[in-house]
Amino acid sequence: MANDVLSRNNVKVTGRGTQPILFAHGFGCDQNMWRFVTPAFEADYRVVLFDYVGSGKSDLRAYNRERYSSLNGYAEDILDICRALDLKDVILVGHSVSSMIGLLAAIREPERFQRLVLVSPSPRYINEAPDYVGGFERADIEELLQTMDKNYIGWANFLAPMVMNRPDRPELNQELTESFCSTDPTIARRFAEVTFFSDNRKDLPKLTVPSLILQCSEDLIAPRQVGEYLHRNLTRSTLRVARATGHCPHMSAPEETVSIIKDYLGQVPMS
Amino acid sequence: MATHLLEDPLNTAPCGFFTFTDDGTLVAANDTLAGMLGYASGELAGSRVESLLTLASRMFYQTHLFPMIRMQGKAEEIFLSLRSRSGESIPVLLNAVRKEQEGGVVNQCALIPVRNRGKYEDELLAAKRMAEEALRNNEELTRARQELELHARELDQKLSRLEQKNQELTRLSSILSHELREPIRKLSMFSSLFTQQDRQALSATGQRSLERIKVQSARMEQLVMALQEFVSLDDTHEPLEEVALGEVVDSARQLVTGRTGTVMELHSEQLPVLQGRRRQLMMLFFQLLDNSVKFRRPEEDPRIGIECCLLQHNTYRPNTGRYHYTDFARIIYADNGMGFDNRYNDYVFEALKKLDPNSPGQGIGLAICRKVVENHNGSISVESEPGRGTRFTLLLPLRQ
Repeated sequence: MANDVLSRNNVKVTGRGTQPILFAHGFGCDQNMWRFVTPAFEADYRVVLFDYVGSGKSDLRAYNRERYSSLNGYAEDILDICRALDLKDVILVGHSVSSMIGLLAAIREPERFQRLVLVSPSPRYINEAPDYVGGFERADIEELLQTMDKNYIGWANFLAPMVMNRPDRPELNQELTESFCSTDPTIARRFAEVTFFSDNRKDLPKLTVPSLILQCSEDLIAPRQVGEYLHRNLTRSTLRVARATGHCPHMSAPEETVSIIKDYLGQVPMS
Repeated sequence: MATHLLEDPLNTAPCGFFTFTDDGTLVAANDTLAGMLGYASGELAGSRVESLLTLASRMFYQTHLFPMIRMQGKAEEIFLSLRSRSGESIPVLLNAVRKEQEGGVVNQCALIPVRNRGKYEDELLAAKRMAEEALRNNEELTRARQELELHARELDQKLSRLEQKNQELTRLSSILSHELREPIRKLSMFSSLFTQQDRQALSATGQRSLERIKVQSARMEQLVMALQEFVSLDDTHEPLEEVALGEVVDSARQLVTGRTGTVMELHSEQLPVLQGRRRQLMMLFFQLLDNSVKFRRPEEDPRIGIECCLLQHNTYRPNTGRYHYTDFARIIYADNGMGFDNRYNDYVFEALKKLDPNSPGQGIGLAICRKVVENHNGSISVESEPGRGTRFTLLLPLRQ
């Protein structure tokens, strides 16, 4: 059973420490997206990476439409992995939608997690008049889904492994001969729907595990006021605003991202 | 901001061209792109990449395009929608490549508008989606029909077994309440008919035996009553209703205090109203509280804390592979009692199993708890530590 989960979710364990740090990728990508930050944690932690079922090199046969029609099903992936590796005192680093998936997992089994690091999180992308500004209207999300559809028309970039020839960057060759964020278009579309139509605002007060909200400057997917909303509604949370712009600081500004996370992990959690 | 103008022919080439850094700042844009979007030559440099895109395309840029360029060094045939100064949406196809130059990394992009192709693709996509939908519905229907047939047979077999079991239980219940109780009652009665005189006529051994007959028949009577209570939980005649768990806990507490005369300290978070069988839920909390009183530490009053959190849980249980998430109450019931070794976590829920044969009670309390929880399609588990107290975790669905 444990082995099934490890191959199902393409779980990779590295690092020389004992405390586990589990990195959960966001929508649109896979565990590869963490590769600029994970080396910085290998000396002190047991680093665990994985792909959600339906993403990256996970076992697509394990995709279950019912299970993954809610973020709870994705949270179940995280808990399955924790059980399979018998992880305790876990630091869970989740990007984007994975911050809410991680939140659900930590509400389900709070004793398993020591801290959550929420990178560019949002509990609700769609505006809810009159009080909540998520940044998007429903029509924007519909258009995003359509943009995804159009990029999947007879289009192999996301679907099939690609051989890269980069004589100038030999270190990238090996890894990139494997697929980048390969994903099944139907599954990716459903993941997008689940991600962008979810509303986790009512779950926030249930989190008892301390958390770091890593908010980027000028992130249009998770704008500043969303980070502040989370900070107000998550007890024991710390808000840090990175200089990094955009939605993916672990890719655009990995050094800053590492230093903010390490700084937070070095602190005594807020009670 | 210093920008270098693009030299002809790129500046007026029949494609839009721009470059940007990893932080999303436009370094340069050619005149074709500026014109396409309604800006003056050179006006775009220094603004943000996202400002050229519609909101949806900004999201796609952040979730797909930028990661792809960053990780893979290039991206090809990406469909995006630009947003002109006047707010018009312009569908384009874009290629991007990442280049290391003096002074850092820059991402170069070339794009062409695809208005007509875009319409054609829209139609194709709509047709494709309809076909996929039809196919999936068809597959799902076929599978559902097969499952239904299979389940109908299984269900029928299970129903007939259940009916038979129910009859046995009803019979057992009546054996317990009449046939078995009657002789036990008589045993107690006849042994109490011995007068002082009768007893004096007995030998010392006879007197001791008589005493033991009385004690054992009283114990047997209690045991039969406990069993009857346990069996009666399978009686499904009790209606489902909206039950305020907070009230149930209050009444159960009064009952336990009334029966045992023990004062307990109880702190409970707000508990929800859920659909259930009131008498059974009352029994559940009665048994938990009764246990906390029975197995309290001798030097301390029982102290009980109840926490509650609403969360979503899969309602399917034996049926692995099926998922339906609904609202559950997770109730954590913790006391400061004697506790027990975690080895016995499963054992304690079995009927008539007692960790300490000399402790009070019949060993049926936690079996009743488990049965009530299961009757409500929930689950119960326990963690304990000798000397530290016991902690039960209950998961109860809000709707049956």
